[in-house]
Amino acid sequence: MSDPDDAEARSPFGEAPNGGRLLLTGLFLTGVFLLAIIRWQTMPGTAGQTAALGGWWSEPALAPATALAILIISSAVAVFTARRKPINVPETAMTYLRIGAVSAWMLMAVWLISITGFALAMLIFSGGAALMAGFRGKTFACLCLGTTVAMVLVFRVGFGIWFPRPLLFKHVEFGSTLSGIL
Amino acid sequence: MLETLSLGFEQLTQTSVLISLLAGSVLGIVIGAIPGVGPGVGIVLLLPLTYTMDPLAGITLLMGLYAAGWYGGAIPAITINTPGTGVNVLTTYDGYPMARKGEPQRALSLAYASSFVGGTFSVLVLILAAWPLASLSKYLTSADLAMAALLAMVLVVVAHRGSEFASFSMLGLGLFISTIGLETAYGSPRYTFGTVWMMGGIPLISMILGLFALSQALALIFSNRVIKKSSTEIDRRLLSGFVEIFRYPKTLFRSAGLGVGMGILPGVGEFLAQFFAYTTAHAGSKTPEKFGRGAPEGIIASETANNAVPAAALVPLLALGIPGEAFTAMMLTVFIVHGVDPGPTLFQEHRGFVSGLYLSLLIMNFIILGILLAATNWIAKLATINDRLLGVIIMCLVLVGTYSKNYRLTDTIIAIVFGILGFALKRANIPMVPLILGLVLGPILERYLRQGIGAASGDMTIFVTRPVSLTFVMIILFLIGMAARNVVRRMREPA
Repeated sequence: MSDPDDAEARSPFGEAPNGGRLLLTGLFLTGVFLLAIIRWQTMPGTAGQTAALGGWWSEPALAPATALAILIISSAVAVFTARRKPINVPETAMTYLRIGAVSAWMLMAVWLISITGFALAMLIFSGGAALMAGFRGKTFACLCLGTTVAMVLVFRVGFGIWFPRPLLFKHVEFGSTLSGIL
Repeated sequence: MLETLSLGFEQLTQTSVLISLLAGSVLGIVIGAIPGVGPGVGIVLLLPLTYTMDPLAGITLLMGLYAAGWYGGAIPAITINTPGTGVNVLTTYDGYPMARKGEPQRALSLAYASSFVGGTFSVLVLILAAWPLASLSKYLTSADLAMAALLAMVLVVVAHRGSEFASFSMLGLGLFISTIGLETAYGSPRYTFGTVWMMGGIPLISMILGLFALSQALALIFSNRVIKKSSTEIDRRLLSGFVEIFRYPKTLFRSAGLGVGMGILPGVGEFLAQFFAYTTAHAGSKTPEKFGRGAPEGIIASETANNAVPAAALVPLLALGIPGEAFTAMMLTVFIVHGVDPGPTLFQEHRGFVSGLYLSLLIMNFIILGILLAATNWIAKLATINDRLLGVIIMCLVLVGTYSKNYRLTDTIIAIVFGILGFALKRANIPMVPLILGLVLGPILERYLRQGIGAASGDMTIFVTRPVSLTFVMIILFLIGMAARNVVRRMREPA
């Protein structure tokens, strides 16, 4: 099976889920919740779609209900068939905490684009991400600067991707060409 | 025929297509040669860019990454015993021992020659098989196509032996997410929670970027893996394999056939193709004891089979509009964005595109080979790039990819949510491919089911009264039965 992302994790000789019971339980509960609110979340549309007009097969709730039924039943069974693997709670918590921090940093960088512009936001983001990844000293500086310059050259200069004019450039004049790039 | 060929050449001479051909090949090799990244991440990162390109240039770029990635993945598999991509795992079994014996050139040469034969053979099969299949698909009704889509999903689920239920739940999740938003036929809002931004559904590109690229970046950033450096110097004498592979014609062509067959079948793909090719080569070899110790047949089987898959995987996509796995599902989104309908109309209305695609796929194999023959020694050094550094770069690319599409923070939030989900799925070894297939095939399945049942005025027997859909239903039931039998057997086995 061609799963592009798990070069290391998987072997072609065995594919049993390695734990994940908590995740599957979460999916099961989410599915149950979503199914419980289906009546309020699948409204007949502007074309007046009802069982009488369009037929039962075109009821808006049919497809999500079927998908949720698949999700609920299979995740419930999968919880019991998944390998029972003890979780190293402190290690797992620390990993997800670090992921949470990187994610929050990423959101902040996106927000920063509208304030400082693409280049500065990218420099700040790559700096934070590199620090969290454990880079220090010269490698850290080279990584941040190199990534930022490469991103600006590829996306802003090469592909000419447009970004909204940042707040900073309304107050500081960089010249139109430089502002366009940064 | 000649007219179609000249149309194809005309398409191919466009600058954008030529650049895509070269860029896709180079990037694919580079990404394939860096362990832990893989063409999947490359395809996802470039997907938003391809939406702004001409369809042929976009598909060529993605196919370049897809095909060249498997070629490049053989380099670290042979030189440092670390497969560049998951589908090069079996190449390490014989490639690395051969390199350790002082024959890295021979191992690489065998890998390149086998990959080339597998790659070109599958393009020829695509050329020969896609059009007849598309011509036949004219006679298929919505009911037949609905069952074909369902069969693709079932195949993907049952292909994950040992995790069928987890795969099935991922499929359910993908199908559910694909229903979110304003349903197009009747304008019914579904699970929008009263928000306007969800009316358009959850943006597919943000989800895919999160699931594939961001999750991988997170895994790389927090990885402690140390990749050993290769001291192997490789010169440019890499052509001997083209003679040597023909000393094992049975292994070569059987592996190519297995790769093509498994590429066409939805849900099977490179992993099983190389696995079957390797085990059949092992079983049929006169010197099975050499397998795992540097057997040339082992390298030939593995590399021929996995490189025969990419072009073959396009057969169901081009002919029926039904992708069989994650990569072709992503490529389908490029067709959708450009309003190009895969299927019989594609071969009638876009002959130039189809012909250009065939030619570009064929030429791509020569370009990839040329690059590898000229630059293997440099490419091999890429394998030692620090994982965490790659993680940071991928995160920056994800940030640009998600935000630059609609300039909405919500798109980045979606990518992050799916990135964390993807990371958790990876840790739990729960497959993501059924989720992607559910996301892409969900709307297609719903449309065909509605049309099929609607045409029969709600009579569900439509699926068993038509011979084609009945055949698909029988195969689906057979596969489910087989999967159920396997599950029961496993449960009875002592732990």
